[in-house]
Amino acid sequence: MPLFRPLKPQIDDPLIDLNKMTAVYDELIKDAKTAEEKAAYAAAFQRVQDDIEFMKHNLLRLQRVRDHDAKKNQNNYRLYQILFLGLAAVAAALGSLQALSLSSGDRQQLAIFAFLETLVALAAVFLATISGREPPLPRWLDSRRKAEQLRREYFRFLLNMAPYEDNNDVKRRMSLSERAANINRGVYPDESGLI
Amino acid sequence: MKTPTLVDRKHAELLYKLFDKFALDDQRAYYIDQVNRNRTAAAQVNVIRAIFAFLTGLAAALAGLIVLLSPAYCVPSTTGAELALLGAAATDDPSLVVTAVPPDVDTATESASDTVVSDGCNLDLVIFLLVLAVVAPALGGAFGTLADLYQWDRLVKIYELAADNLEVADAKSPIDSMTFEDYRITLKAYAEGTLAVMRDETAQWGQIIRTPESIDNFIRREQERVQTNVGNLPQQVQDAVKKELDELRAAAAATERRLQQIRDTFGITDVPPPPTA
Repeated sequence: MPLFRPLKPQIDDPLIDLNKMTAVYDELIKDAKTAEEKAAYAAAFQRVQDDIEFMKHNLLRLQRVRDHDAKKNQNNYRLYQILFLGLAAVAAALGSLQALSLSSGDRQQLAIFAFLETLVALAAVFLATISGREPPLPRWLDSRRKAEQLRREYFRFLLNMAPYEDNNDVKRRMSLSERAANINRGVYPDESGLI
Repeated sequence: MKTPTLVDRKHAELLYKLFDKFALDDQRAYYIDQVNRNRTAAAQVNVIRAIFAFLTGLAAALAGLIVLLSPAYCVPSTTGAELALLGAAATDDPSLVVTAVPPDVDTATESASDTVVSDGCNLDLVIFLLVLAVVAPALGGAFGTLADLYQWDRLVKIYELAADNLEVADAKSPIDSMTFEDYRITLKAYAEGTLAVMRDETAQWGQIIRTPESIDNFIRREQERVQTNVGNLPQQVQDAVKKELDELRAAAAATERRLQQIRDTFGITDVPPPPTA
């Protein structure tokens, strides 16, 4: 049974599960031969955790909201379309039955089918009116695009990829905050050819 | 605060492991899952459509056969005409035009409904088959539109292609024997390749999401129908409404004239002018 109302977004729900991340780190530590190597892994792990912690407020929060918005609008859009589809099927069946009763000359039956068909038409117009106020399709596509780009930005920042290659961590983090805010408002920074 | 990015080999190795597990592997699992789900859905809907098409043909053919094999008096002429149209039109058989009542029944007193329950007649079954022949294509058409709405077949292709491209990106994974500099450069190329696949997949996916044309046409048609059926009031009602409105306008104008006279009499000038009709 599909959920037409997605659950509320968990703002703190990380893209990378901390327990699973720790498991990866533990494996690396297990393979480390010297104390120096272990210390280097520990420092790297701490840096990654710091980055993830920083992104919680500056990026993840926005990503979660957009992701939820996309799911909600996707479900709304499909719900409306499926209702239209059901009405179209009923209208087609009623139209055919009307044609049959027309040939049989049963006026009462014909009138009932015509009335039912009008009801279907009214229901379709009602649905079209309520779905037209905030059309879910463009909102779905827009939110999904933003959520996916924010997700890619998350990994881009974590891996210190362009434009987050700066050795100055303040600049790097400010750049992330700015880019994430821009993506969230629909201004998409260039992603191609950053390497 | 200055913290060099990718300070050492261990940092790069940790990042590679994390990206590999939480970005690339997750994405690959997602693509494979989507391919399977979309393929299953497309196949299921295809079978349902085929069943409805089969039922349509079978119902029409069966109804025609029953009419052919039934005694002529079983079928009222009207239903017979429908069956002739639906079931056996292709045969051009004039014998399908059947009589309304049994030859031995008094046409003045016998109603058509009485013929439905006559012995040896299968009219209930024929009517059921007729309705089935009408409703089944409508339901089959609905499932066809559902396929247009969800675009399962096209999504399968997109996700399959993305999964294949992800393997190309994965092939650029850094290996342990590389020097730190090579490792660092390879890691970036590998991650950039993976993100590019994700970006392209999202762009392609966004392009195929469209409202099916048949639903758009249906909405437009139903709006026109409502305009025609409900929007046009009978002429008598329209005249009555027009008369009422004219009287209301006349009364409002008279009131306004009277108010203006009062203003002129008492020299009131700071009253805002009345709104124009």
